[in-house]
Amino acid sequence: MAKQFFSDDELVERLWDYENVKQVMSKHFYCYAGDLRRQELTDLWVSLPQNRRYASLGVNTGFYTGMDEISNYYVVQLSDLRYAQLKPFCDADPALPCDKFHLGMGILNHSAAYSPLLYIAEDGKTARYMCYVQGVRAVGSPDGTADCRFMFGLVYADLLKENGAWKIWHLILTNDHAIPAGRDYAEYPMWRDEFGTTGQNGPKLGHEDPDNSYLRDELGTPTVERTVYDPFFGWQYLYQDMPRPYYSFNPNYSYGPEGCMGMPYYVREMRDM
Amino acid sequence: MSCRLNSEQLLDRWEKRRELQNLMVRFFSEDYLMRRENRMYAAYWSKAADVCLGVNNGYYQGAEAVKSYYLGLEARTRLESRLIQEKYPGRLAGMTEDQVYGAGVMDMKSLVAPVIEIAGDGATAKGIWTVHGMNTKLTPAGQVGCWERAYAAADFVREDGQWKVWHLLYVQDLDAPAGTSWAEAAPAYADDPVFAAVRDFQPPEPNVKVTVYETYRADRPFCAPPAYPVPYETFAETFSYGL
Repeated sequence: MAKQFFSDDELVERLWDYENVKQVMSKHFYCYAGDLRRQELTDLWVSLPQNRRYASLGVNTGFYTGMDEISNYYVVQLSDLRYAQLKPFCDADPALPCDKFHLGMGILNHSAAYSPLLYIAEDGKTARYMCYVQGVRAVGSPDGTADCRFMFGLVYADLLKENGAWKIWHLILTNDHAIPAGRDYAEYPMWRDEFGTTGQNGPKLGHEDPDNSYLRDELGTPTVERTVYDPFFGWQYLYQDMPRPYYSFNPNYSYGPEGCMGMPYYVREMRDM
Repeated sequence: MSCRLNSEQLLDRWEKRRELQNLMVRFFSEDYLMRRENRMYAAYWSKAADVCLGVNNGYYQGAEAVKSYYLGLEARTRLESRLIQEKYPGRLAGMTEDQVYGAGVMDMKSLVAPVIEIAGDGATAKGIWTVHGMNTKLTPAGQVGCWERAYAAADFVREDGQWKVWHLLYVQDLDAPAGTSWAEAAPAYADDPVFAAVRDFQPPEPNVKVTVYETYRADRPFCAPPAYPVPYETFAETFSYGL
């Protein structure tokens, strides 16, 4: 049941709720760009035990659930990746220590939110957010070359208020395309192949394509494996997942694993039955 | 903070925050997109003696240095427009220097992902934005289209009921020709004698020469974005985006 009336004080509070939710999500992008993921989980994500347990991070191939699993994927696996990316530089220059102080050499990771769409629940306890990301990413090599990509994707989040502060509860970072810089969009294998082989989702989803598997290894092994976003189908499967005005949080429409994110409409209909 | 402020005060702060958002969009639009370099300092900067503009290769510290940055931009725009008029006389023939000012120059910068904090005492504020840009650079070979990714972070001070820029950090993370891998050298196009003067143009250098932020290269040490602001009461208890 929709709330029909807000007092002036409630309206002012909601005004700031919108600002504060957008600000939390902006901070996420600065942490993401700066490899400050531990800081992000500490400062921006839920901290109360009952919320940490049901927190989730979604990627194309599934959900990491609970803050321990999220941290293991989002922080530890990134650190491992950064060490692997640093190693060629250390091999090429024995004087360069392969330590944490040199992590990120040759890395460019720049992304930010475009077109944020945001609704605060009418009960004021949760918020639902979506934005589009036009990012750039590069991984350098000691020979002076780099794998440079334009990174596109949609980001979804459920946020909730903990002790008066908005916190990320469920976050989904989808990847749409990872287009090599300096290459024609039409050269992208997805478009070259009549039926598209969106290999970045990996063989587990039956989309293996060695020419188009840029993120495959980075997605890891989610706690709950299922298609959250399949670039082959584009965004039409996400239509029903756009935030809309709502009264209070409903787990069936969560951006966590209990929700319908990425499910085709015909699967949702079966689920609703 | 909201626990201590009543609704009227919260609305006032919301208005001041909105002013900051508009200020930065106007600032970047006027400066770069609309080529109003000659009015930037007077219109937007604080009267404080310690104003500071940080760019990738150093800081313009103090009013005269910051003004010199804009004089450099203006001189470059004037030169580029004159050369483009010479190269493409068609519609530009017979126009005065002022009339062609900015012709053939594009420098679009969109600001996204703002994080803004107004001090508890209301006297100062801080903000950071991500900049997604595209621009043309006039090289000795002609115009080259470039991608830009940058950060703009600023300290603001309230003067005469208006926000003014006090310290600005504008650092480019990526500044590379379109159509290339960003680690590669720019394509070697043949020089055009009409544009030869571009090679000799030297803008005023920062008066504090220091590497503030490196643009991307394949072996760049990791560069995190400037820190985003956190809530604070007075400027003395937070960090500065200036020197």
